[in-house]
Amino acid sequence: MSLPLKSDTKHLSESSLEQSTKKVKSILVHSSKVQHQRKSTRHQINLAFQKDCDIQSSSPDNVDGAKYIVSTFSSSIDVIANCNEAVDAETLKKENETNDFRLPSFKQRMQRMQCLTLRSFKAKQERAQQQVAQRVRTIIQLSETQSCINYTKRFLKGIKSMFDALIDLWYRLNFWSQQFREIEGHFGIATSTYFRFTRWLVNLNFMVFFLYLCFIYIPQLSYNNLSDYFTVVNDTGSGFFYNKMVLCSKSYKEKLTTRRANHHWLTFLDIAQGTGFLENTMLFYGFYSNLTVSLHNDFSSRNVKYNMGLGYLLTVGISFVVVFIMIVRKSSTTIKETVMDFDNTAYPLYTNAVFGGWDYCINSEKMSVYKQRIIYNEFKATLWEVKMKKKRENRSTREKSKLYLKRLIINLVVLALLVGSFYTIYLTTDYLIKNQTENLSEFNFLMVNYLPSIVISILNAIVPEIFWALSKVEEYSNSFATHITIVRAVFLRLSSVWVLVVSLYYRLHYKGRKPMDCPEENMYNVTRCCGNTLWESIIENDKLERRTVKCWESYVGQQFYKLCITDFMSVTLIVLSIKIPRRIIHHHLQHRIWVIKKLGRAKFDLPLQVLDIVYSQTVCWMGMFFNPLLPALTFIKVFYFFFLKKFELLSVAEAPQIAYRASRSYSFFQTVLLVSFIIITCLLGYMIGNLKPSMSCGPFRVYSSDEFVMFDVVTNEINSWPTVPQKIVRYFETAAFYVPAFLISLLSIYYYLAVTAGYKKMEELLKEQLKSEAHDKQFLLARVDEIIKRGQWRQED
Amino acid sequence: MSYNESSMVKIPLDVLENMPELKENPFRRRICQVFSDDATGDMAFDDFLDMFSVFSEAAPREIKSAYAFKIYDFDGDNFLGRSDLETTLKALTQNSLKTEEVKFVIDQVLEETDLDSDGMLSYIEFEHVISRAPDFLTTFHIRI
Repeated sequence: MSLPLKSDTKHLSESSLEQSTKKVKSILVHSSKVQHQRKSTRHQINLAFQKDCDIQSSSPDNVDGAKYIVSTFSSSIDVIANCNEAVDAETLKKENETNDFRLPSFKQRMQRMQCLTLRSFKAKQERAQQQVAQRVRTIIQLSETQSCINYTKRFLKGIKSMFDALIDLWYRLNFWSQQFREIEGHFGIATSTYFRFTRWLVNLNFMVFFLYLCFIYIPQLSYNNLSDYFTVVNDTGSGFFYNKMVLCSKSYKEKLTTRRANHHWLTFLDIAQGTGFLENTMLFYGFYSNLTVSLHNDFSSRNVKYNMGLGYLLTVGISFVVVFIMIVRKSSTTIKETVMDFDNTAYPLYTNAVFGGWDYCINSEKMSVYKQRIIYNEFKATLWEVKMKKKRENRSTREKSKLYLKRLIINLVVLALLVGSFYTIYLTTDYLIKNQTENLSEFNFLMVNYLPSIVISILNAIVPEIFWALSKVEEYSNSFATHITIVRAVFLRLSSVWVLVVSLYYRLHYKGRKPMDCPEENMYNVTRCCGNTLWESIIENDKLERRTVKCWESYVGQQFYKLCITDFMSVTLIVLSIKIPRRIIHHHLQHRIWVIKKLGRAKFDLPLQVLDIVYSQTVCWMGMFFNPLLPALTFIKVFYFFFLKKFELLSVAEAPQIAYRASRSYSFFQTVLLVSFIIITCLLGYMIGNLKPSMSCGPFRVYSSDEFVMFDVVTNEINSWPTVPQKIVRYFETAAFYVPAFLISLLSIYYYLAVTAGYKKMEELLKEQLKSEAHDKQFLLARVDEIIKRGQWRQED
Repeated sequence: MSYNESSMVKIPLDVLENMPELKENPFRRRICQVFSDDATGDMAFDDFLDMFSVFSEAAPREIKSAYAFKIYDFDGDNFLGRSDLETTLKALTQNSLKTEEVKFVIDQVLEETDLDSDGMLSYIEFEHVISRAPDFLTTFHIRI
């Protein structure tokens, strides 16, 4: 497209042209009024216009007319100038000539006459111009008295142009639009909603990462370089418990920083498992200090303090709130369409297919053929559904009972599969923790470490396919079968993360499982346990010493780190090792071996792809608390996934055969995301409110005795406020706040439900009204016809 | 391009039909006819801008439905009759549906939309049903 297509330029040029034409028009109108008496000049102008045949109108109201006027003026002025010179030269010459009384030649006479007429013409023109200028000046003066309005107009224009620039910047920030065009051109809008969703997730991750950067990374980094500007203040703690905590932290740090032989293999192991030197970095919870730092400033009365523990907790809380708000806002725009979908009687299925069927974005021939095939398939599928529905209604009772029995069995099978998967995950986690202190070789230990994550990935890949196959047997309608498969797969994926966390909790926090005893702590000795059953290994072995769990939060963080890496590797590996070879084989052998042709290329199934990416995001949210660098890692991972999936779609896989409705797809993605988010929040909320933090690491070290939980950092902070704000906050905890708030929310929900019901009724009434109006119109037309006929008939009489 | 030329210089229909944005569209001829001044399909710059502004994402629903009605009204009688619907359906599926299937689909469409039961869709009925069809807005646009 080489033509400029911005509507702005059109408006700009139009408006400026309009303005200029208006100005010229006014000037010329006035000038023509002034010259009303000067017919000669008018005639001159008309002549000037009629010079060019294109300009047909005699009224000078366009730019070209103005140009002609100006050109005629200037040309006549030139002639006059020459003429003046010529006349002057002539007279001079004549005067210089001595007494030459010869009459001027004919040519000279003609010239002089021309000059005279031109000069009078010029004088008239000048007078006319002066009058025109006078008029224009009065107009401008009048307009200047309305300068207020002018200024506001200009001001508003300035603001509007600023807004336009901002909107332009915003569109430029919405990156990847080129990629979307490519995808849409080939596969239509419904497939590109998946990629838009991915971009939205990248943005979400970036926001969380930014929050973390401001409040967690940078303070922690500055803690490492404590200088004279800061004094370190430990807000809480004293006595026996506090000393124990300090000792535990010291021994933990020592253990992490003792260097062994710098083997490459060991470094690789450390990176893969997140232990060793990697544990002592910002990647894991255990690295973050619990100190409160205050700016030591003699001149100010106030101390600027930064409580790391409070900052950490609040940042996590605020990022969850931000994510929640963004998800809800995005889904509220699509919930309308979801509701419309459910109301089957009002949903115009066929009209939507006919009038909204063709995707106007498609610009490749291959895709247009493909799209037509999709539309054809959709119509065929809808017609088939109608047939099936008729068949279903005509099912005999015997067939019905058989079908219900089949469905029951399949549901039981699904349930069994789910329970089996969960139990497998629990077993592997258990195995992992049991073997934490066993004497295994390094390689075996690596395998054992990655076992839960690998098991989860395998289950996530295989079980949904089984669900798909099962749903075909159940003989549901197409859309319902898709929905129920997706619900089951979502349940599987979310619950695997749940089960992992729960089994870790069970293992790490339930004392009395291990036969190792924690001997009585002595204030003056290095503690044996630090409250953690897995603190030390019984056998004094360097290798085993490395594998002890001294900080359970970092340990959980390591599991999530491994999950993240496994997810990344598994998606990449599946594309590389399964889908690409499948495509190559299909390309070469499809004409020879029938089976390969039947299997076809890998399918880019939208719901399952969405589940992949939502799972990555779920792992990120879950691990965000234990693994503060996880948002950054997920940001990179989702960014990478976009391009990987795009490559898969364009080169490797086949586009989906079923026509996905763009609107429905987007709302479906948002719903799945919201459900996962809520489940994760509940889990994390329980953990923060109920679990005792580690004694040796993390920002909540001081709260690690049996009576405290992590949330106490907030409670302590509130306790240190002056009385009045404290009382206000305490009010929010009492029943006097909760009960009225709950009642008000219930009432507002009920009110909105009632209003919606009222709107539905109104819609019905309006539909009836439309119908009756059309009937009335027909009736009236018929009457008019009748009357006309009667009139004609009477006339004929 | 001067102000004058923007409404006078016209691009002929066959050049427009080969434009990448319209090349694969089964309704391209009808689109050009609707947006051109004299219904021949030759578009001037103003018409061209109109077309793309209607097809842009920012155009409101009313404008899009008004132009969609004109595009799908092949015989130009301001009603979407059975013949118009049949032509639309055939263009969508490249004539691959059988006759009774076409008839069934058209019957269903009329049942969903025709409120005054006159066998045709007027503009009001069309707009009413389009406001409830969620895919129309998303598919009725061309990205440039």
